[in-house]
Amino acid sequence: MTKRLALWAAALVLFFSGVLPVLSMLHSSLLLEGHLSFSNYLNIFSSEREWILLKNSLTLAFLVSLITLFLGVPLGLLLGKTDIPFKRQLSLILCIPILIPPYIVAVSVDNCLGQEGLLRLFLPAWVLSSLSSHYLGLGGSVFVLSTVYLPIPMLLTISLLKNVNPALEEAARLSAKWPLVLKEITLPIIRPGLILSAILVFVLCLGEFSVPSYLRYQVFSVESFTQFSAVYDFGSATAQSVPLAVVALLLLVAESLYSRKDLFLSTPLVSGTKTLEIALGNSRPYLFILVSALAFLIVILPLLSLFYSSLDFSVYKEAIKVAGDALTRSFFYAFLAASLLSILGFLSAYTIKNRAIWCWRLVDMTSLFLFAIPGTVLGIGLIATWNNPWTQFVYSSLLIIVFGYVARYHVLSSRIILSQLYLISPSMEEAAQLAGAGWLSRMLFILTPLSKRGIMAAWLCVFLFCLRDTDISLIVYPPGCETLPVRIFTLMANGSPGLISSLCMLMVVSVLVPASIFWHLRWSR
Amino acid sequence: MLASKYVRIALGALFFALFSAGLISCTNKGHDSEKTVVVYVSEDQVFSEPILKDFEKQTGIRVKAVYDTEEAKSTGVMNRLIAEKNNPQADVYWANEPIRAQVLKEKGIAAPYVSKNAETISDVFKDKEGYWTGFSARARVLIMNKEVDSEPKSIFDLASPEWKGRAVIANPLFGTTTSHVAALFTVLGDERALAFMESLTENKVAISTSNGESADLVASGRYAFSLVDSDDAVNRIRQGRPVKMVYPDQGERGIGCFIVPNVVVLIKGARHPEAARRLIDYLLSPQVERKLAFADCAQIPLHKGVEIPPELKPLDKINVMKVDYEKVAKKMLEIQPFLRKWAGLK
Amino acid sequence: MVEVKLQSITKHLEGRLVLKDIDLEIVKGARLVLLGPSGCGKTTLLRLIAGFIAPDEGEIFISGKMVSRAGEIVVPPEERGIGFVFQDLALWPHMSVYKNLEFVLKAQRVPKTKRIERIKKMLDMVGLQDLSSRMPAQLSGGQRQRVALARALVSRPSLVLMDEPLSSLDWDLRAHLAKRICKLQEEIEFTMVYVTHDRDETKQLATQVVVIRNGTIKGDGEQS
Repeated sequence: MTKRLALWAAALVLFFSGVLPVLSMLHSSLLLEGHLSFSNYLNIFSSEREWILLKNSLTLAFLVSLITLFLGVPLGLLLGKTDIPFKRQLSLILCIPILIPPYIVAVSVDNCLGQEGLLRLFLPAWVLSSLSSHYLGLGGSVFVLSTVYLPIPMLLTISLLKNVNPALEEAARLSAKWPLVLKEITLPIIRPGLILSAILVFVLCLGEFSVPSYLRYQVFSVESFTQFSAVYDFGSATAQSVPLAVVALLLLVAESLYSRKDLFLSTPLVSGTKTLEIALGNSRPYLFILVSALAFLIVILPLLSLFYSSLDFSVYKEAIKVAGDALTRSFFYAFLAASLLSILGFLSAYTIKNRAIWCWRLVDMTSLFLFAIPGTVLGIGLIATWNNPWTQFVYSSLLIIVFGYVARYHVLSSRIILSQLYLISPSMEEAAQLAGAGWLSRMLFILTPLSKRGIMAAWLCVFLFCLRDTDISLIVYPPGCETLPVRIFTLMANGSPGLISSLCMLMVVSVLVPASIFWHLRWSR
Repeated sequence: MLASKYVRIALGALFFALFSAGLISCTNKGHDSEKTVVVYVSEDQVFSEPILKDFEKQTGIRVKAVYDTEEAKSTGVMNRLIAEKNNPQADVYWANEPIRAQVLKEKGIAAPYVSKNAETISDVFKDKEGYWTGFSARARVLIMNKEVDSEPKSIFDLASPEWKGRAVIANPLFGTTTSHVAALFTVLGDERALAFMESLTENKVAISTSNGESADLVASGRYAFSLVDSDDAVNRIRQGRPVKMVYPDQGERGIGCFIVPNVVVLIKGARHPEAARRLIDYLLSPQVERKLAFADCAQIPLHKGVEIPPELKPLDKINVMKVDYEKVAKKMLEIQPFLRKWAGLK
Repeated sequence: MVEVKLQSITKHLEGRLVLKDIDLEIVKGARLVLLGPSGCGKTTLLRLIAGFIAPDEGEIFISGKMVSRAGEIVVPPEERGIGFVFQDLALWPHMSVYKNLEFVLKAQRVPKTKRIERIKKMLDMVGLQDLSSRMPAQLSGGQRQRVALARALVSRPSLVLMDEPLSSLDWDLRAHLAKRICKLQEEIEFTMVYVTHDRDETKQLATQVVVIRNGTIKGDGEQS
């Protein structure tokens, strides 16, 4: 009884925070002057422009996922499997871009290339100006988004490598050198995870609008976002955002069907054995220099230039004054949402793994869909659903933001915890059941401790994603209660460059502190 | 292990502190007292926030604001207002141009209020029934690179062979450029306006994504001149870039310079109507116009006799385009399909 | 002639002393069984011989050549000419039976025609000729066992290490496979190091027995 109640409650929270809002938007997109009509959808591709925009979106997403995959996997191998020095530090540095709102990365790279930027000290003017002219448009968007999403395949590779049964590699090492072992054994075994990471990057790029709009590259997501303000017709604007969501959803569904066939990844490990480490030998210093150079180029340099253009100390005082409260709120919202999502994600993951309620597949698909649909649609749907006199307590309080985060990032927590649950033998729970433990105590005292690592990882991941969220927060934050990314975004229009840089630095530091604490905890285990 | 225990305790304490701080900073106490006013703002936060802070200081009324940016095409605020229609959260909307206000009026989201402070503002910049009132305006001006020898004097120079391929405008699908094109349609009539737009294409006028970008393209010498907002031009002048600002179509027979005022709207069903009216009165006062004139947004006061910085011309020295903003708003929705096609990527 | 020689080997793992001052000589062609309770360091010893890990102290020789010394792997695993049957078999799950065997030969650059021939012969020897296109997940426990064996032997190594390869099987299947291993060893003539905690298996297989307890050798002896 408790079990059904808890699982249904989790499913219902997802329903009310995400499904209902999106349904209400889809409903309005199918109505034209009160009648059912598909004209909103039929109109989408009436002009050539829409097709070009869609092509641009797909090009951008494709290039970024390709680059991040082909750069991230080797990096993951180097940092997760070899004896390269300072691997912890290097991986943390390379992860910085994904922790901050993407447009801040765009701003910092811009700062670097700008006429007053840091690179001016090293490069001749004509190189700079040709670089910065290529920065606007596809080139810059690909660069920035690749920097931002590189950590996804990289981190996934590192963690997947740790889950490969060491004996599989050892068996191969008896006859083959490392390059062949990696190519034929290790990488094929973690391939499903790598494909997932590429698809994740692809979907995130499709939905990303702040970077292309800052860099003036015309893509579908920017169009569907601005559609909301061009004619103030929610119906057609929602219809406009559906094609991207459909592309994203199809990819994610295809992936989840595919990955269910590859069950060998979940072969449980022989406990206590460690995977082999690759000795780099003579090439160790060169590879170290190569990775450090990359980290310097795509992370440190842009950050330095942010720092450089905010060197004036008084600007920081100003920044804290205008954004200190927003920073506190950001932490608070993210903290609440992450905690709630750890519980919900656990319950959903349990539902999905055990097929515990009849709509388990729906729970999984829904959370994928909510992740893929543009934030604007979800945000306005939330307002339409929750803004009425009876639910005022939700809409006029921080709950509305938490709801938005829950709907948006549910899939992250449920998938991460699910992957952990798959590693736990069902007999664990069964043994406790035979011993007479009720469902609740089985969850609390058996499964929760066993999946502790997964839950913690999910919490951190969601926390960081909420902390950097811009698109949902921008639309639903209660008056006077904005978050730091929103504040930076709105101040960016005509704000003084020094102030913006220092606010961005504030954002970077405030994300890095919790991230590195957890990094430390995870590694010391 | 011991160290990590301390780290955990410290983390716990940190979270507890955050939790309580967050709770304190974000509980909506006293929502229904007149000690609070909720305002949605489309004017850039950098310029609007100091004004609202001054209002708080002077009146003791707490201002809760939702900001938006031109960069995001004001999506957040306008869509909120529309989505919240049945249960409004905002009391006041501060728009950076009158068209959105007109949309609100037509959608039944605005309420009429005639402020006594608006008496000396010309009727051109006010809704006839009092649904919205204009103040501090931007002008749509030409920005030209100083290196260029001759000087464009009219927006029709965009279509003149002399400037073929040397001018740039922002995408007319968005922002003040949309309003400007719609205004031209109301002033010139559909036929002439359509012909003008077609001639822009023939004259190879480039399209940028925003007025700010246009101004930068002119400042860098990539294009000779562009049509932008006065604040974009003043901004570049104050930065010391080699540009000049020209008020277009002046003189007896010119169609005049298109003026885009800020606009303030009372929201229908406002929860704090009294505080809302006080805020509107405040925004429409000469002192606010003076502040906005000297701020980096360099906006032109609509009250007579307000002190202004040297880069600006007072309103009565400008030949203003005579438009009915209500008609412009209607026209704007009407020409959307045409504009989409016109701006279509080739 | 001595195939493998361990000289005062000591090894710590995660701060725990696993092997202490081991001296051991394995004669060419022997079937040496390392007998001992679980966790006594048998597996670690195999991994040291295979070259997956380096000893903290001491030296290891294979066919008279020094392959490992304190803190250093001198000859990497792929150059030691060793076959290994893992406790959990470690069949590559994404490859068919044939591909599992082929990888080994391909890595050693055996030409294609020779590969085909040798794999066929090997599969015949273990009685799997009909299953070569199956995936490991489609095989029974005993069949998988034989694939692992075939994979370890297909490159004709002079030394084969087996880490409790039969532990997961039924009793009667185990006896049957142990017999087959003996037969194969006699046919192909390799030196075998076999780890187990099972005395019956030891009796069946060993020509030489070494008992390990708490990381040290407690006794060894010949068996007929």
